Parts: sequence; structure tokens; C-alpha cells
Amino acid sequence: MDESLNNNSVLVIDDDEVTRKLIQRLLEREFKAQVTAFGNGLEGLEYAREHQPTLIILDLMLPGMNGFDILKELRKDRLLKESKVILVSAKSRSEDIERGFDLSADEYVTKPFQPKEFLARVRKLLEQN
Amino acid sequence: MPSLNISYTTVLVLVGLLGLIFLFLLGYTLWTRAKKRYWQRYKQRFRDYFLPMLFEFVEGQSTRSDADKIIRKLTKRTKDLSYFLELLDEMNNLLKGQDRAKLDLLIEQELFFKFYREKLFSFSKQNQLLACVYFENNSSITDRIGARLISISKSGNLKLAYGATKALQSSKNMTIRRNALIRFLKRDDISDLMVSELLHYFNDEDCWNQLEISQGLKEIFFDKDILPAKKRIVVLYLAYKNHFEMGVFLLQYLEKLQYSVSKAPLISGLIEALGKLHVKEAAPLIREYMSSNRDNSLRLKCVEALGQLGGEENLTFLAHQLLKSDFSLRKKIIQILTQNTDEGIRLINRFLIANRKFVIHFKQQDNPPDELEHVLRNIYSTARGIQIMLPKNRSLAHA
Repeated sequence: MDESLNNNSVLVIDDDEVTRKLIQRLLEREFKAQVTAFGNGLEGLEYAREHQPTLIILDLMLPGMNGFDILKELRKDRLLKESKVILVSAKSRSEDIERGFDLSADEYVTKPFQPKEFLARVRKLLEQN
Repeated sequence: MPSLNISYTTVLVLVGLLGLIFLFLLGYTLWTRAKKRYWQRYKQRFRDYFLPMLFEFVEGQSTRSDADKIIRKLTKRTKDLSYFLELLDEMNNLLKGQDRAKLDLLIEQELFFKFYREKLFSFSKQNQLLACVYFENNSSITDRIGARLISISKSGNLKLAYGATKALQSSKNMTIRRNALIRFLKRDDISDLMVSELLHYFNDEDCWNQLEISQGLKEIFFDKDILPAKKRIVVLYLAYKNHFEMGVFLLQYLEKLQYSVSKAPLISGLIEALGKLHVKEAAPLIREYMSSNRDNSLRLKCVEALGQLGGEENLTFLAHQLLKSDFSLRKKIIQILTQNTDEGIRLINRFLIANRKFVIHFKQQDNPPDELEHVLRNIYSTARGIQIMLPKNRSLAHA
């Protein structure tokens, strides 16, 4: 059992219910993390500002405010500088990945993905912490 | 003034009738809303019940008997079956590899197969469409179902034809897949997005190797009934998917094409693809298009492609085009030369030295000819562009 996220909070922002639930389930089981999920970018952003989660998993294609804009807002907030951000999206074009990293995302996962691969990426990111 | 001869009773009857219609419509609206809310709640409960079960199924060492156990929990109601398949479809789009493959044990269950086979052979277009979506995810297409899907794919109804063509892309027979794709591309009512999506379905790397896929796609270029705009999407898709083995073929195809306004998008796509696929042998032909063509968007693609191909000859050619090109092309050339290589910077330096001499000579003249004013403006504009685009760690005194 990985303890690196134990007692730490994770925020998942994804409008797709199945993705949200799958990620929530994987992180709760594997890292015993306290996971909060939102389907709306603005609500997620508000929650992040209030609770400063250790890890934020962010979808790019969101209604209203897209993932890139949310990431920009997150990076502007000094309190959230330590939070790690993983972008999750069906977009696999290199420009999108580059743009994500330019906006200082820590990791990029494209859909479809394998749960084991996703967990490995999260683990690697947390080990760097 | 004419008198209104409507009796009091008639008015009452009309008001009563209108009142009844109003009450009926109100009741109907409330009832449909309540029904919709009921099904929404039901669907949510259904998903909450089955989703964890499906996650466990995918994560564990699941077998066919585990799949059967889940299926036994399902009622045979149409709504339940369609909700369940909707869930499977969503998971299908989210997972890949072995986890995704496990879903096939559920999707290919006899219960669903029979249910959707009946729908496929029914007369209702809606049912046929639902069946097409199902067979899109089911690779065990029998001959009878294949034949039915082929006949639906020829339908005049675009939605149905598209659904059936997508379903045929899950066939294990490459000829069926290719013919279905070509048949659909011949239609004149399809959108570009449909073409891209179908190519994505056709390009099933789990089943076919890259060579088999590109051989299948080659046929599209020989078909005269497929519009150049559609062929352009195929060309760009090949480049996007790094089909390097198609480079020589695409070059030969470009060589055979005669320029015309209708073929311009295809030619532009081919030039773009040849650049992305680094087909160095294409450089002379691209330079020829750049020199002889007046279509600015095509010339822009030529500049991009030559920049991608690189090499002294191509970069020197681009540098020589600086003063002959308009603003957008000039901008692109400067961008390529400044960001590309040391060779590009050297060429820019040479350009600036040569033109500096010209500017000095021009200023020393008492009555310079008016036509040279335009050249001078171009030189200044290019020099300004170079100053802006030059990387911060590089500097050129002449700029």
C-alpha cells in the first residue's frame, strides 16, 4: 500500500462521471487518499482555493471554463504552488501536451488509459515530491 | 356596424373547451416532466449499482463466468439493456489495453447479441441505428450481420449509413472495412469530421500493422469518385499518424496531379504531409510550386514544408524568397530561418549585409527612382521582423 497520499486530499475535476468515479476509486483504494470530485471547473477551482489539495487531476475539455484556463488560475495562486497537477484528456496532440507543460502541469495522461499506468504516473509524481 | 350574433352559450362552450385543452396540456407537461425525472433517477441508481461492479470486473482476473454473473443481475427490460450498454460504451472509451479487452466478455454476451441482431433486422431506423452502435463495439460480426450492415451502409439516410460504416470497421476482414470506407467517402453529403473519425476507426493498430493500414488507404487515392477535399483529409491523417512508408507514394501522387482550383486543397495537403513525413526527395517539386503558384495559402504550406525538410538548399531558397513574398509569407520564412538552425542565422546575416549595401547606395542617390521605394520598404519590414523573431541569445549587428 502506498502511503504518500495518506491523509492528503486529492481534487478531481472532470465532467465525465465514469472517469471521475474510476479515478476516485483508484486513488482511494491505492493511496487511501481523501478524494473530492467535481464535474464543473469553476466549482473545482473554488474548492482548490479553499482547501489547497496535494494533487489535482484536471480534465481539459470542461464546460464553461476549460482545463488550460483553470490551470492558469491555479498557478496564479501562491497557496496552490505546491499542488501537483495531472492533466487528463482525450486530446493527444503534441501541441496540447506542450501547452499543458508550458502552463506547468506536472503530468499528462491521455484517454483512453490503463488504470495501472495511471496509478504508476501518480506514484512517480508523488515520489518526486 | 355589423352586430356579433354569438350567443352566450356558445361563448361558454368555447371557453370551457379552451380550459379543457389548457388543463390537458398542463397535465401532459407535468406528467412527462415527472416521467423524465423518474427515469433520470432510475438511470442514476442503475449506474450507481452497476458501475462499481464493472470496475471490479475490469480490475480483477475476470473470466467469462464473472461476466455471466453480472449479466444475470440485469433484467431483460429494453431500458436496462440500453443503460448497461451505454455504461459499457463509456468505459470502452475510457480504458485501453487488457482492461478494455475484458469488456468484450460483457459486450459479446449472447443476450445483447440477440437483442441487437433483432433490432438490426427491424424496419425502424432508430432500432437499426442502436444496433449499429452495438456492432461497432462487437468484433464478432457474422456473415449475415455483415451483409445487413453493408446494405444499411448504402442507405440514403446519412446517419444510418455512417453508423453502419462505423460498425463495419470492427470487422476482422480488411476488404470489408476498406470497401465500406471507400463507399462512404464517395458520398457528397458527409462532413470532414466524419471522415477523420472513420479513418480513426479504420486505423485499428491492435488488429492490423501499419503497412496493411496504409495499403488499404492507398486505394482511396485511385478512386475518381472521391472528392479531392476528402482525399486531403486522408493525406493529413497519414502524416499525423506518421505513416513514413507512404512518403514516396504521396510524392508520386503529387507529381501526377495537375494544379487546378478544385485540386488546390489536396495539393496543399500533400505538400504539408510531405514536409511532416520528411520526404527530402519532394523538395524540388515543393520549390517549384512555391515559385510558380500565386495561391498564397499553398505557398505558405510550401514554406512550412521546406522549413521542415531543412537543408542548405531549401533554406537558401527560402532566404531568396524574402523580398519577393508578401507579409504573411515573409513572417513565416523569418520564423523558420531564425528558429531553425545555425544555417538559417548565417543566411539571414548574409541577407542583411547584402541589403545594407543597397540601402546605403539608395540613400546616397539624389533622386532615387520611385519604384525602388517599395523594395526599400520590404527590406525595412524584413529587418524589423528579423529583430523581433531572433532568439534572445542570438544577435545580429546588421539587424
